[in-house]
Amino acid sequence: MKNTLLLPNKYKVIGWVTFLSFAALGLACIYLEFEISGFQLYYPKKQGLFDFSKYNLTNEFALFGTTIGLLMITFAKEKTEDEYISLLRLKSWQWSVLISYIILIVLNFSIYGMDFLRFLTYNLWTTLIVFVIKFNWSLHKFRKEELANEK
Amino acid sequence: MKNNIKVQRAIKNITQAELADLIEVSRQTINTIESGKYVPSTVLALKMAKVFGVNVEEIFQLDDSDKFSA
Repeated sequence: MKNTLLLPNKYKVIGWVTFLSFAALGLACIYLEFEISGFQLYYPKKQGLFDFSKYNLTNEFALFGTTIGLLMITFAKEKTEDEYISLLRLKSWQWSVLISYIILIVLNFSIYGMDFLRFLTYNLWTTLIVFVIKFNWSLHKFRKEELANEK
Repeated sequence: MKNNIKVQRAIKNITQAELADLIEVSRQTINTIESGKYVPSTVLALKMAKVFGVNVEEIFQLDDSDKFSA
């Protein structure tokens, strides 16, 4: 059975490079207020009292790259993508969806206001990141298994 | 479900890695099947049977944990 949704193996590396560089850009946007000057399409005529938007596209660009990078990591094939690895993949997705929503439910009751909004930003990628962790952990355990039955 | 892949491999004199290459899966997948942790798809079972030159039932059999009324 072929899983046609998956990308070739090399996208794993491309995905990691994309994810890490755009995540760094995103963090710079949030914490250092970094922006690529002139990287915008619209220039607002007047600044209202509550005009939060500067219409600069640096943060949009960072969010886009981070998401595409993570999608490439999660959808890249393993070198030997056999049916057992497909099963691990499916189980890892189930885990990551479940864990992501547990995190959402718990934090819903434990943090409030702007902190919650900040969490929601990071929460855009929780499912994907939990998948990467869970899937690689499963693969690691799978590959480490002893050659006990080999002899 | 139980299997006798180990015995079949011994008869054919091939390792897990060689069997894995023949049916295009990873070596560890053969290991999980052989130890009964994973039940392979029908396609994979048929490929194994072809490699060993036997019927699928000679490799895989139901055991007590697969009780059903028929």
